[in-house]
Amino acid sequence: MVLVDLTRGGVVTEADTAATVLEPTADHDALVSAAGGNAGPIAILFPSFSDGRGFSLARILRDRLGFGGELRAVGSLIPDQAQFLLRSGFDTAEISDSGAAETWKTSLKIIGRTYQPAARNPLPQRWSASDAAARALDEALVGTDDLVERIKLIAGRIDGRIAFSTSLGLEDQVILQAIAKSGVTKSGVTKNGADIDVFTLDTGRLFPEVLETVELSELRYRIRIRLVSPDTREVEELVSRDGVYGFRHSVENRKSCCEIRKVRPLNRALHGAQAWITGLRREQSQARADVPLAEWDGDRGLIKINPLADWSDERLNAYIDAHDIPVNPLHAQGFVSIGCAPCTRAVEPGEDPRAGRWWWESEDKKECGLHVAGTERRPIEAAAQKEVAA
Amino acid sequence: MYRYDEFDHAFVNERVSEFRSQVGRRLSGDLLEDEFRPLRLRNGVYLQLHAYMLRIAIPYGQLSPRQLRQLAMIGRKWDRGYGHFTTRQNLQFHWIKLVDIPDVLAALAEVEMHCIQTSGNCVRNVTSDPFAAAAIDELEDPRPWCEVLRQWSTLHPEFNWLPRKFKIAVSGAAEDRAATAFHDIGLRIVRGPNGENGFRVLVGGGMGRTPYVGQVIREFLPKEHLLSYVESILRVYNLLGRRDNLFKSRIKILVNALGIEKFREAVEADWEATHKAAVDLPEDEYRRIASYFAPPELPERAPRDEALAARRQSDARFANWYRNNVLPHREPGYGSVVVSLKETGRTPGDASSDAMGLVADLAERFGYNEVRVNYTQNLVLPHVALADIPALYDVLDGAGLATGNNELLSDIICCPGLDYCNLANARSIPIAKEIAKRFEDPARQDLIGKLRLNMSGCINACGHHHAGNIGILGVDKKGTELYQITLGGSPKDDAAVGTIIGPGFRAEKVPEAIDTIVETYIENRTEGESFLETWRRVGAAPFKEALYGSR
Repeated sequence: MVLVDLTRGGVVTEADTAATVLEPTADHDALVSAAGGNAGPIAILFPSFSDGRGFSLARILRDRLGFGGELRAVGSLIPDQAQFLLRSGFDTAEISDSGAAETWKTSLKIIGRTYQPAARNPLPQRWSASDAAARALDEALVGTDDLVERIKLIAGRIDGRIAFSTSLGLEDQVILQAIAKSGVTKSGVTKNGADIDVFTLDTGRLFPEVLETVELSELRYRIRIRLVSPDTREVEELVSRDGVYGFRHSVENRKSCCEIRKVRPLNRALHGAQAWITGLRREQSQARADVPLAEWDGDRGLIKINPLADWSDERLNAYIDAHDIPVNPLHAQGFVSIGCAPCTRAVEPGEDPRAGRWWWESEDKKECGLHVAGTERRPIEAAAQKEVAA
Repeated sequence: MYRYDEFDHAFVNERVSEFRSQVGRRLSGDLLEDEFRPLRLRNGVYLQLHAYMLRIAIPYGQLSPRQLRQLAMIGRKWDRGYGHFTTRQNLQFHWIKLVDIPDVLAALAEVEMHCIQTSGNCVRNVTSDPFAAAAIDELEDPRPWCEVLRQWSTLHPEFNWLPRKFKIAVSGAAEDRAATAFHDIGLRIVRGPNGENGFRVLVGGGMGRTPYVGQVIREFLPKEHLLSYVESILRVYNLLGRRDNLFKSRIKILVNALGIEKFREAVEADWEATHKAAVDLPEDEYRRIASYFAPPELPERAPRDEALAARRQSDARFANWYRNNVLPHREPGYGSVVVSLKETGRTPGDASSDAMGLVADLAERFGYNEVRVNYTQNLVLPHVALADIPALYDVLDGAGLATGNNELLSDIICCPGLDYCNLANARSIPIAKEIAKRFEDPARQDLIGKLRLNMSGCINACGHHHAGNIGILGVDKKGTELYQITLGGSPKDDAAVGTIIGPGFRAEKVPEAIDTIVETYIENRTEGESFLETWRRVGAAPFKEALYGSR
């Protein structure tokens, strides 16, 4: 008899005698009393490798009864079960053929990725894989400074629909130009089959200059910019309730206007996308000072990509000049951050760039909700670990 | 549909190389057949009468044109140019060589497919409604939940050596098109007390030698607790299910031995003791999965198409096909098309590589890149514009894929039977073909109306005979094939197991017996009454009299 150490892969040379031996038929009381002793190893018997009761017993002992000592699998087991035993909570497996110890060791490496929580491995790799993939993309994007290269990288890495929401602002025009120049998209579909779906939120209150810029950009870059409209019924209800300029009367009114005209249509447009490209930059505002180049947006279930996050104002303006990028004519009249017409004014030189948005409200309330999560953010890892600990 | 990311690709590729090494060890003699058996079974490789059989999972019956084309290629290159769609939304190749299987698995992995857990005593391919995200009566798309279950059950450490195989079906519509009541766990998405959706959970349904209709273990389960609740059911089953007798080891036996109340108590107690938050899927992970199932954007269309209406007026065959094989779609101006694999004279569920390639092309041309597999062994194009339907029909018709018999008598569900399967006691395919031939006339089938006829070549009931309005079971009686007929089964919301009507028939007498049953139904039915309704009203007597009266 040889005792294989499942946690490390070696053989246990000096094994303790099992304090309790459990038959696969062990009932709840037997499990409780075995776990309560906590003195020495608990051995669980497997009458045959195809009798999987022991896996459930181990899981109950570990997850539910908090047994912390050695859990040993004893009986006719096969090496292919090594990882299943380990993940269910076993530390060791007793095998009769000492020559098989090496096979058991290699069997512990067969499955490198897991889809479900278990006694050991409470956080399956799948649950954090998206976060990990977003971080890897972020690192890769940090590694290249060239915007066109960044776009190519994004299109190459994302398999599925990539949504680019443009407000036709300076940043978004730069990104649009880079998408066109990168050649990753011909009529919206990239070489690896990913779509780059360029759209703007047609809130119904846009400046005519914004639509002019849409037209001009489409002609220049030969990329269709999809106009996404709010739900007609919702808009009608909102206006009949709050009035045509209801958003001026309270922050609540303003937020529900933004919600119906922007946030909901955005969520609809993003539904089914695997990635979302935005023009967010760290220099735009205090609230955006930390935006990464790419991050996992758990609330929307996609990777949010801000390829200009690390660009300065100077660099942005220089790029626009150098490439003769068409911009919204309102910029020349002192408009900086441009939203809906009634809620945007020009700013004086030296004023905060977002001072022209909802200027009658206080500084900390000035996000329309597109770039803040609707509910409290719940990082998978932190949340799951907290709950396991609890 | 769901798309693999780096993680999923890497996982499946790992499994392919694992199996490649195992096959290598078997071919070199390092592994004996006895040692190899549990390993190959984990990858869907069965040893059948003539050759190895490979069962490929089609999760919840959904295929992209690219995947269907790859299956066609596999059939051409490594099999005999065709495959067999099963009653569990899988595809089987019956003439594959063991040495080729690792390459086949690699080809499948390329298109995000696999054979993991298509056999063995573990959670099998999760089945669903082939009309998901298209049907007019749908409350919620069941496919994201199927995918959640697929991922969760894949190499689950605790539940890979269950007493017996385990099958789960999910339906999100008013009509049950996934036969959920005949699964180990059946999940119906329903509206809860506060207007939110959740699951009605059925347990212990199944066919085989001891058929049972599933029983409700929980009227309403909040959706977020799906995994923890399903784990509790499986844990109770894993610990208490019988392991001493292969034929009594399914969960249905346990549920019925304990009684549903006691079984429920055990599951609820386990569930109460579970750290649910540690087991249930985090909400953002659910959203990630669900985001892949956004239905295609269907351009707005007129609810009525004039050319289509004209064709229905002028072409009776087309009109017949349209009436039976095109189902209403929730978007006006669209329909869901059933592509029939039941042409008279052909093996039900068989599709040639050419046919698969053709359907893949049609899905791209007319079907917004979606194909589904129905457990009744047909294919479905769920989203087709009405205006495109005449053109689609013409192509299908040219390839023998436009038999207008969906849900009619000749739309027979049938297992491979003694011609392929080493478990079978009797042939099933030739009998099914004979019956289909007898009822070939569309006018007669139209007169009969909807009627589900299912047939199995042995007691394992792969052909779902228990759930057929008319069921046929092939048995071997002292070296003679005999066919037992059951009446009154239903796979739908009024799920029922059919009743044996009397002594069995010899193969050549079966079509005539079916004819007698059908005529008895027609004589006894009142205006608009279905076969089941008549059966439930008049009982067995008139059918017995007609079948055996003179004996």
